[in-house]
Amino acid sequence: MVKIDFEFDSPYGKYADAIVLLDGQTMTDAEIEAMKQDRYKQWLAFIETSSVQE
Amino acid sequence: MAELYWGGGSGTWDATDATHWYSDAFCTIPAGVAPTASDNVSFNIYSSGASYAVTIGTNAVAQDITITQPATGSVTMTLGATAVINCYGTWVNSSSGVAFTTTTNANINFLATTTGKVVQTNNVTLGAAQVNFNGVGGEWTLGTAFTNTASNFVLAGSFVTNGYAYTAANLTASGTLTRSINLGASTLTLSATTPINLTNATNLTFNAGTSTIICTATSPTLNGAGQTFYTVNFTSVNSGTTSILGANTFTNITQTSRSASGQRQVSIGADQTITGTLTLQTTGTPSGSLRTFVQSDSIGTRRTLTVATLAGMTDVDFRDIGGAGTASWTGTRIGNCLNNTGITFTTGVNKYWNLAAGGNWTSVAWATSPGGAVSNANFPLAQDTVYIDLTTITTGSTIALNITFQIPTVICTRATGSNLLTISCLVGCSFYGNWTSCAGLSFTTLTSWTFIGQGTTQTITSNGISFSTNFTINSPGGTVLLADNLTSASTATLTLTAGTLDLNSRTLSIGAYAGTGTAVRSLLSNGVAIVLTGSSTSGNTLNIIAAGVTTNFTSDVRPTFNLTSSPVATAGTRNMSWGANVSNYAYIPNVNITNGSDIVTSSGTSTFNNLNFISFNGLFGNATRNIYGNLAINSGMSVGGGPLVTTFNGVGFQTIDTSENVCNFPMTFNGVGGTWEMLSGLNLDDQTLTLINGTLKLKESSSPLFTETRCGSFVTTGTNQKYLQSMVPGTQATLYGLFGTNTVTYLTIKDSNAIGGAEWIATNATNRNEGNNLGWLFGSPDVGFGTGNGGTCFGFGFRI
Repeated sequence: MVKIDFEFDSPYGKYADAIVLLDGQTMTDAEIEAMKQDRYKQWLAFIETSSVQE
Repeated sequence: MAELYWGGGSGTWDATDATHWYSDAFCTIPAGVAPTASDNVSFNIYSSGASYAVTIGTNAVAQDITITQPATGSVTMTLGATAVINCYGTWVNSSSGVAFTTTTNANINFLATTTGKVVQTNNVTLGAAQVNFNGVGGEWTLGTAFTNTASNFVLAGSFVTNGYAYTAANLTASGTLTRSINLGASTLTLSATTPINLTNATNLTFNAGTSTIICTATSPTLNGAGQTFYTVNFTSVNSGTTSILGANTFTNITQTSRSASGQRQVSIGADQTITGTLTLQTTGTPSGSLRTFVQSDSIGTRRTLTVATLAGMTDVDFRDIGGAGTASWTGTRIGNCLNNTGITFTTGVNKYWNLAAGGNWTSVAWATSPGGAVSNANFPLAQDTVYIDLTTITTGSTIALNITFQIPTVICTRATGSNLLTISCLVGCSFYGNWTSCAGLSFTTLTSWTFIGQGTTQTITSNGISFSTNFTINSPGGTVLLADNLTSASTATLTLTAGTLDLNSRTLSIGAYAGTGTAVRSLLSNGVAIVLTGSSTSGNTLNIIAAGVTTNFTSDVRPTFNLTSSPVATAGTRNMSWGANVSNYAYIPNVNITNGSDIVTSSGTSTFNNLNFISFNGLFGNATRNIYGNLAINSGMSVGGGPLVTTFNGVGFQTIDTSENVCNFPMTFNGVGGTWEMLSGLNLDDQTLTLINGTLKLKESSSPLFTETRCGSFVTTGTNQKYLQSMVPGTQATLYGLFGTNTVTYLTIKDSNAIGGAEWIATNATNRNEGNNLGWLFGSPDVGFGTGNGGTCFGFGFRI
């Protein structure tokens, strides 16, 4: 099992996460980077859509 | 402990189904059993050759749970509303090829009782499945970010976020088992209306670390239970309310500034300490009408905010807030909504409406001099005085109270004529000063005006103009004074919550009256009746008097309500409730019902003084009620029967006039020293007439029409002597009993003609024959009670 920690700073605070690759699971560097971005953007979107001016 | 592997594709995982479990990783050797709490389970590439689904039963149980994708496709774990996964160990699922289809009320329980367990979801959302950490001595550490949309509970054991992002509806620590939450440097993003819910601090260790808690709900309540938090951000910029409960300590709190006109409220439920920076409204365009309102959650109860640093604030209003700490409690356009300390407020000035076409209260319409330049920076603050000169406004214009704001003194001036300006009350507002209407003004829309100038006197001057709104008096220590008669809509309600309403001998006409809560409140009427014009409608009940709790209510004299519906009520129900206790009997109201053909009734155990029906043509409903004064039922109306008792409690002279209507409900008379005079016959049909204390003077029988008192049974209770008499001494009053035996005690009887199918037994030595009685069976004449003035007494055992 491989664990890749990553984090992003945002105006709302730090987003910290990890990608855990279980045994036998492989991902390319690009796929891993894309996954990082996806998770961060998803989190950011959640905050911004729920806080929006009515 | 066994290692078990899921095989064979789709199926159900529960406590008993062994169909899909194998004892080898290649899924070739059937295990023959379902996993138990001591078995590790895996879903792997051999579980299926293609996408498959695992339906979770009501008790899917295992030690460690590992879920990875199949050889191709994905695995979907389906958790319905009754699904439960009990995990006694570590949870790991892969980042791809695993999905959870969930339903509210599904549960994933982590039940380990030892430390070292990991929850590693790869931030694959667990959806609506609620996650519960509930094992005494257990410890669960996040290995990745965590996301679901449910409320998650820490009930026992330790939950460690380990610096990873936690995104969910909320985080709750309830119960009293030993439990801890350690947030480290994590960012928690919580969407529920109660994002942090630490319902009970008993046996709770809460370590916020350097975490950031982001509360995104429009109206979030942080129930902190007195814990210490690091950074908490409330990010909604909508017009909701952020509530903070518990006397907590924070390093930083930020309430995101509004970005459009309107008001964001921050409600403080206890004293708070902010050791770092408190950030309230800091900026915004347009300024002035874009505000944050910081207030105590209880009017009149000041909450202290001890703050080290206050970020530069603009357009913030405060009410019941003590500003303390090393922070400089100053800012731009800071509104004083009273009962604050330690805060430097902007000096109140005059503000003038200067927009001829009318507009919204939030319009760029305000000037600091008559006809002066307008600017949103001139938006009125609670301590200002607003002038609206109708001669400067185009005839027929409207000014709309479009957003809930804190309204200062408003003076409308210099108009003659009519329909010059309409105040459109689109939302409820709070008022901190006086209101003066003038000719030419009109109001539309039913909303609520709350007069809240606690500790001050606020004067309402109508100048003959009717309002359209509800009025609420919620002004601890304050007074709302009527300068002249006040009329509002017949659909509106006056609510007296706290403070004094001084009618100033003026007439208040409004749809309904309500008294709520237990705050100190007072009504000064000087004997002038409040006219309640509310009209019930078919199939509906209008609570025309709603004062079920009158604790801490006082009045100068007994209040009087005139129920004069307009339009005249012809259907539905007008309901009254008035609670009373021994401390406020002096304030129970007189009620006059002056028109209508609907139902008028009461709810609860309501208490009234005089209850007078005048020109009423409807139905007086049966209810449990106490009447301390008179009851007058006019002819032409009807009285509803039923089992609920009306008790007359007066201790003076009271009259009852039924206008010969049948009152088919039980009546009890219970007032020490009280006398009730029947101005007409009293017909209870088959109901019980009970005399506990006092004197009951029945209508004499010699009226032009034969008059009698009729009941199903006549009962006396208690050991105080009570009296049964006729309205006219020497003239008998007829008491008709339908059936049975009416045995009385401690009753002095005079001028009574007891008839009907009942027996009237007064043989007990505690009774007293005062003479001129018929139909009663006395024990012996004149025994023990002195006067012995004859009457129809024939000695022991006789009855005529």
